Amino acid sequence: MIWIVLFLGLNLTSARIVLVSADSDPGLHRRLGEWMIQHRAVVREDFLLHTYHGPSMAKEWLSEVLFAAAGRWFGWGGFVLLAATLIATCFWLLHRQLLAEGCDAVLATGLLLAAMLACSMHWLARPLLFTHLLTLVFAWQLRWFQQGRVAARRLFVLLPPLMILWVNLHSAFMIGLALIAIHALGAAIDARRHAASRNKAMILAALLLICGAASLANPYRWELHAGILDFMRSRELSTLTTEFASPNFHTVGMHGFLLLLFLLAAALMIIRPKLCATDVLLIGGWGCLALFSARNVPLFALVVTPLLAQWLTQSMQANPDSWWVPLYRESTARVSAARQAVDGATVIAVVLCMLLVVAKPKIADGEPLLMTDFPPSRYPTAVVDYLRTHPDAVHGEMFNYFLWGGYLEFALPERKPFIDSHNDSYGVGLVREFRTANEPKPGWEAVFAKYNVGWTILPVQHPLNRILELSPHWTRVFSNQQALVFSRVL
Amino acid sequence: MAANANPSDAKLRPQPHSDPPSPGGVLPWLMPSLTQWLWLVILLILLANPWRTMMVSGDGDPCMHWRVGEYMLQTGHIIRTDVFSHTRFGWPIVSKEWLSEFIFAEAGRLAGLYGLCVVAALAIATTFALLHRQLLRETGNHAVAIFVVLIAAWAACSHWLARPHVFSFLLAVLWGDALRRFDRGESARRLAVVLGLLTLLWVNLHGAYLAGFITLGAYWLGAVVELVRARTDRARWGAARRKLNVLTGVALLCGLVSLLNPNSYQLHVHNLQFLRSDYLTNWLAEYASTDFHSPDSRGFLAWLALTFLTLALVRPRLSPASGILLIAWTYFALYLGRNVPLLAIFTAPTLATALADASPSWVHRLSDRLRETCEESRAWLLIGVATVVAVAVIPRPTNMPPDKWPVEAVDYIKKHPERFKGNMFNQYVWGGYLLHALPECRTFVDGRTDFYGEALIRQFDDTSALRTNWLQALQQYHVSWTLLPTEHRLNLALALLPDWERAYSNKVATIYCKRP
Repeated sequence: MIWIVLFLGLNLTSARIVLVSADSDPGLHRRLGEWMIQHRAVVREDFLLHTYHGPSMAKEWLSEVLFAAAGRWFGWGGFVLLAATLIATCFWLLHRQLLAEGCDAVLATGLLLAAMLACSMHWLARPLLFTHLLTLVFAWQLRWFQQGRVAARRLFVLLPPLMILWVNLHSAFMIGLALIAIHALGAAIDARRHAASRNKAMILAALLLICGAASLANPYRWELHAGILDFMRSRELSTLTTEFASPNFHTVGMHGFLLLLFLLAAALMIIRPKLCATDVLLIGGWGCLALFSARNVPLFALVVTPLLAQWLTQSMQANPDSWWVPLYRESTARVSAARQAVDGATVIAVVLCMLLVVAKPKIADGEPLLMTDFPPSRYPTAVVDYLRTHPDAVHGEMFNYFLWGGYLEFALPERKPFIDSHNDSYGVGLVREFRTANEPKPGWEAVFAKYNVGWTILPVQHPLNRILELSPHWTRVFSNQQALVFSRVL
Repeated sequence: MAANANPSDAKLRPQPHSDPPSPGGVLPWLMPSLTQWLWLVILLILLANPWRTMMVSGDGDPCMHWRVGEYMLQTGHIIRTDVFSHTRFGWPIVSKEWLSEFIFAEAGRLAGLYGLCVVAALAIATTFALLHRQLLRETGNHAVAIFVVLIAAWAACSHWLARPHVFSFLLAVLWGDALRRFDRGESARRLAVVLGLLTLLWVNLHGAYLAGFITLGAYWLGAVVELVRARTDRARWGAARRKLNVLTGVALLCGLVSLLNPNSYQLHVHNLQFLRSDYLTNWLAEYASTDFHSPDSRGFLAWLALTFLTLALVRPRLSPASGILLIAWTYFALYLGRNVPLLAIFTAPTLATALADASPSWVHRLSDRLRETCEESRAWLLIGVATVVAVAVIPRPTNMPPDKWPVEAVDYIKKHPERFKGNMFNQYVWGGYLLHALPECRTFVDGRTDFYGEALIRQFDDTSALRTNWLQALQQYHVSWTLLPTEHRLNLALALLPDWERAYSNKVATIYCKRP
């Protein structure tokens, strides 16, 4: 039921627009995926920007191909379909894990909702969703191994192949290695008190080595790892993207994270659970990473939620005489009786129905039943239409708004943008030059001259538009409520 | 392993080892205690460069408060209407920090910017020395007390600036101590007297007096939880009921005392209106959530790690009030980076008590050694003399660094006053400095964001960000010259306007003037 509600909720409501247009990265991934499908090769040199022509790594080539294939068949609806499937599967698995660990249905569902609230700000049709799903699977299996619920052989059979998949799906595959390392370290620390933990530490160390070796099974070998570590070390590069910034607790999107932190603190103070070294490392490590970068908040939620479920369940079992426990048990029993598992046939039927809805233009032509596209209220769709019909309106190279880069790469493939969100490829130099022109600061004209910028496409309120308005060397060629286009006077 | 960190159960915590015999003679008069060392070291660090310069030049507010205080000293009354800006000239002012502005201005008269540093350094050093004494008294463990205070100081140090909020740190330490003493069984009358006096001081010293009420609220809520828990035990219920009554009475008393300020209830209305404005609290950098990429946040991160590890490994039994306090202030610190020092001050005793109870034997041995060395000290006289000598001997010159502040541009303006007769448009952060360094010119805006209000700040921001209506504020307020950082985008736009010309420029600041 959880799966169906999430899947349909994301497909049928306005959430599907948010999934593809919260930022313009889906456009970038779709364009790269299309290129790889056409050329039957992975990208090795950048071809999207006019400012950079050096080597480039398609770190997420497999998910870009999958998303592009979905886009070929069903347009942006295909992106939503794939993203909704990943999100629904991730939280369905989390719910299954909580129930399998002895948590009752009410508590499991309540904690799942808290985790969903914390993760929802990163529900975007992007390769990151594969990382959410794989983080959950890795954390789940490692936790069960730590608890003695699964054998070592299962880890060795399951995790290395998943690591090969992960390293080709999304650049955050190192999270999997970090999870194994944390469990190995935790087991090594616990080995001082429990001899059995020493054996577990050795097994996990071996698993870490094997998964590390498996992570080399990607088109760029070790260079992928080196590139990712370089990017993470460069504050200038990573801070250009807001999702790498620390969480802003003034925003509604952080309420889920705050709720989880509150539950964690309250549980530690009231229940006072006995934590093993692994649990301390997991909460401390992922908590720290979540405070550093908002994009790690979902990973924190996926790792911490099973721990919260365990503590709360144990607390209820340990205090059966508390006044509220019988009341809770009674209500839980009613809910459990009403809860009916949805069988596989229903799930397949729902998916098929959704596929038919999304595939309507393919089957019967005409407009799709559910429109999914970049909204003209936030993206320069009218500018794109105008430039298609008036290709001579602008000359030279483009200077674009950072957040529109991916959209323009997809919607206007005949024109190359100045910048997109692939800043890990093109490096600090171009980022600095972009900032000089984007602020704008003295020297912006030299940047424009260096890259032969002949026209700009920027949001109406962008400060550079005011400079161009006043400059005798530039003229406005298009304006509406979203964007202004200026062209250099020839 | 489970430690008892409930302050109410920690009356005169037994010392892990018996006290050593008191040394006689002159030694106690010459050997400072750990608290005294801490006080002196913090003071000396803050009075030395580069910290001294950072305290006054971290933003423009120290200069702004000095200027406002100086005006009050000159006129002999509390400021009621604005006289410093041309955008809000004559508008009524709610002076939240008149007493601290008065103190800073007196210090500024005596020793210039260095005087501001001395006041702030004394307040900060006394805050952490008092916190150390309180932790020692409550834990009996010298090693734990100094460890927790040092982490607290690390967490707070990025907010050590010569501004009125340093008085809030000091008052928060005293406020928290009074509440914990009451929780341990000291008299209600003492609590009422101490909190009443502290409220009177706080509402006149700094706008963060609300922190005291929040903390009092946490204890009140804790008392409610105790009352609910004790419903089946008549004796405990009676005690919890009495505690709740006392806290309710003290809260009402403090609420009444808080009206004893120059603006009466309007001070509270003004503060709440400001805090309710999402636009202003999002716009101001110091009201933002902490950026954990910044090296300044390392101390806060260490404090969060200490809190988590204490809860996870020591597993203390916290009183309801301590638990509520810990959760509430952690939330406030995550929400607003400027609350981090208050988090450290209010929650340090909870963590220290838990850590002391769970300390291994080597920590107790270390604590005993520290006690033997320092506890019987009577070296306050020596410390006092050392402080006076240090304050007198440390070279005083304290200036706003000319590589960050428009010092040379201000000199230029002073030399050519005839060119700068009209209204100015200035960078926000420089506003406070300009109030002090260029008192003959009225600013467009300065650090008194709550006074200027959302409407003007929006206009200022629209112009600074070159939005479509960027010329509107310049025209509405008849701006005839601008003083902005050289790299500011507004300079690029003014350079393209035919009726504006560049009058001055160096690496830091550029002045544009309207052509006559």
